[in-house]
Amino acid sequence: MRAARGALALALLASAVLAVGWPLLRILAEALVALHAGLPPGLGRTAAISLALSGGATLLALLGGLGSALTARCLPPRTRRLLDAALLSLLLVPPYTAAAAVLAVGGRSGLLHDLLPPLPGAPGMLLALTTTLLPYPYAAARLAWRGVDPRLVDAVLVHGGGTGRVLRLVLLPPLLRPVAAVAVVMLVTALADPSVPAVLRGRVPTLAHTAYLEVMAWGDEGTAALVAVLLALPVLPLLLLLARTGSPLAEPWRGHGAGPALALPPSPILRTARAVTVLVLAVIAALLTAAAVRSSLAPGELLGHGAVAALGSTLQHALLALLVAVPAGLVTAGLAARGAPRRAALLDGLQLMLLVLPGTTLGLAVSLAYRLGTPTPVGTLPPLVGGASLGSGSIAIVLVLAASTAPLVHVAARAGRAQIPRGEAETAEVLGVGRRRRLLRLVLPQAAPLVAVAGAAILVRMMVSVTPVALVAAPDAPMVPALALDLLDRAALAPVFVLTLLVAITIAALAGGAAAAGRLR
Amino acid sequence: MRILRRCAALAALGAVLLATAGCAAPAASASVTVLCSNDAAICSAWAEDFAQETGIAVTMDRLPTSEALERIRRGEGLPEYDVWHGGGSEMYVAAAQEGLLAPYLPPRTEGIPAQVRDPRGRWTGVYVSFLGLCVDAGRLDEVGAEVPRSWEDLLDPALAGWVSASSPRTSGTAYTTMLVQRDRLGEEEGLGYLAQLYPQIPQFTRSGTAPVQVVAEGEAAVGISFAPYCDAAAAAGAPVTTILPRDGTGYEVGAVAVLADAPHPAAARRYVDRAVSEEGQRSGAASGIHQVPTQPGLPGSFDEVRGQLGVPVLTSPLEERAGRRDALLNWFAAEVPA
Repeated sequence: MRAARGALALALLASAVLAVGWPLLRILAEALVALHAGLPPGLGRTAAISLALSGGATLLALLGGLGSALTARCLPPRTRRLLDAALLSLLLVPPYTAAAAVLAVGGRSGLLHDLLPPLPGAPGMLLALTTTLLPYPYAAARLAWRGVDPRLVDAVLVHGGGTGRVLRLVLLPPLLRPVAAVAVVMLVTALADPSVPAVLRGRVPTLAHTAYLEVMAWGDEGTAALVAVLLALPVLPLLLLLARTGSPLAEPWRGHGAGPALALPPSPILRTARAVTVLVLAVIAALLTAAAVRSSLAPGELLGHGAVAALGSTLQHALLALLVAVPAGLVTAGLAARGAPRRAALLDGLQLMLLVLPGTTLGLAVSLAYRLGTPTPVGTLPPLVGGASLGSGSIAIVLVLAASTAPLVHVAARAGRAQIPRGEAETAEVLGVGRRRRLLRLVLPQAAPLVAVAGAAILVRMMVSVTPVALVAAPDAPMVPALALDLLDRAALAPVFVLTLLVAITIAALAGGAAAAGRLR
Repeated sequence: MRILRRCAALAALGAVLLATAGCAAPAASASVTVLCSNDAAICSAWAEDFAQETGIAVTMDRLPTSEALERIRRGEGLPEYDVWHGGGSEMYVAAAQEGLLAPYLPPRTEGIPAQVRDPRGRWTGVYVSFLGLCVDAGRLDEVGAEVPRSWEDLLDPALAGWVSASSPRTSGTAYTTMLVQRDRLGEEEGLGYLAQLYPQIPQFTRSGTAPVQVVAEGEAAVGISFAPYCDAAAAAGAPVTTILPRDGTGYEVGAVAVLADAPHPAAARRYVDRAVSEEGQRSGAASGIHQVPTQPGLPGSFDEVRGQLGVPVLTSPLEERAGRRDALLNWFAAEVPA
């Protein structure tokens, strides 16, 4: 019986790997064929522009995020929370909304059009991408510095060190690894995002938008495949970094209490950090104000355009995907925990790869593989991508949502298990405590906050992400990113701001509900 | 292992729910799947009209004309759609030449002018839209540019960055714009004109109707699109006006066709019957967008309007227009960045 259950779990796992793995292998093969035929004209230049833009946005966001995190660490807890709220709430803002806000500030009819140089094009994309990326280094630094002991800082200062030495000896060491990993994630995120260029590209071509157009216009599959693979290449060093550092993804999840403010002496570094923080907050305020002003111009029209239907449909697809992703992630985490080290490494590696794979690559792979009939040993599978396909395109949408979020469940479950003190676990086992009791008394209390954070992260990722959904949904599909991109093609900014607000309210309501349910338990 | 079993059960439940979502499509016996290449509001109005008239459920998938043609081409042998409705007839000619459309002569076709329908009944023109310039006079005043009255006026340096147009890669409207220049100036000079016009456009839109909204939102001063969309925006209160270029305009013949290998051919023919009929051609007006009907009995029909525009109406044989598409798109891809 046990063998049969194991076989069932493995069969489910193998099906999932096949459903997602085959499109990825197919796209790799297509890319190699396209490369063999020669680079499409202009693709090299487009790649160089994209890399420069993404690299620039990553650097600026690192500067802004780390500067703000340093300022936050030196603030008392209450003020620090305000800064946290201002920067981390940007995680709820999809990149296309940031791009729309940039247009609302510096577009032809923008709030500050007369004061600013024209923003559409490279400057606007740089600003929008930087704004979108800001929370990543900020969150990484805030997490890394939560465990910093203020007494270490005092010790350095007592021994005659200044702020520079405190940074070098106390603050930088715990920051290097997470920031290196986050920088790669930021670069990949910026490179792979097609929605900022969709709004602000002007006449500047970018890789992700080129691939998006190739898919939307049913153009050259080879170019789309090649771009998809190119976008995934920067992930390789990240994978290597993560693979070499044990269980690195578990570490940032472990919480620490809010530490007291660090008391650093006034210095140019601190002043620069504060100036950067003020600049970051000013940019956020300008974007918010422009969005609010633009939305207030035509309040009667804002809830039209199918916003509510799109929100409902996106939520429905997200919940369906959760029903697939949660068990899949728990199964792989369970198999990894109980299996031999090699099996655990394989499962962790597969999930890790899926976790860091750009959504654009995944979306392009699934779109190209399943938009026409798929040959299988038992016959041809009907098209799964597009409004008229099987399930009105829902199957492909749920597949990509589940594939991009199952790794988060896996990582959260693995981290939850790692949090249980080994002594307690071994004692419980020696005393013969049953699996159910151990789960309820040992695992759940340790893992509950983690599960809540993972759940919120998954939900946010599903509701806010542009890719992979936009690449597998028909342009008119009632999905939030598809609707937003359609509206922004027409420069209809206000409905997109309202849509984003609705999404944020929905996420907050769901997260609040989940937290309340957790407290009731 | 018990937990694993529960997880497997949850996954199975997910799969069942997914399959249920998949089964949400209308039943095969009373449904028709339409690929619509027009404004979303018009597509909905057509679908509602047909469903109300016949009780047959309509699944509408909207794609710009060029994308729609590619989807039909690539889906050959595994048909998804029954009917293709809307979008320039050049694409229908191409599809007909490739054997992707089924011959069908619906009732009440005979009155429709011969130049807007296929003699073998593979497609039928159901509306006509004239290409125009959608202008915001107030914005032009701010920019310091004159209101453009001709295609040549669009090359005014003061309009640099203030013209909005769609990309020929994804839009039939943009392809019609290219053809108008070719019909107006000839092959070489037409391309030369386009090479001067495209730098005036700061960003190409994906949809052919989008430039109207881009102008209405204040992000451009002139949009190149079909006149009915600009008229509809003006009627809705946007500060825009339609201008037909005095050096000549072209038109799109929006068509309807039954697709070869349509999964529901009987329902598809009923859909086309309705789309071609006078009632069907009037139904799109419920969206607020008034395209020119091809049925001669209707007020403001193509026959009636064509002679009253006051500007030259340029055209060329449809087969020739359809045959130029690949060459023109290749030129665009090679010569025009982004």
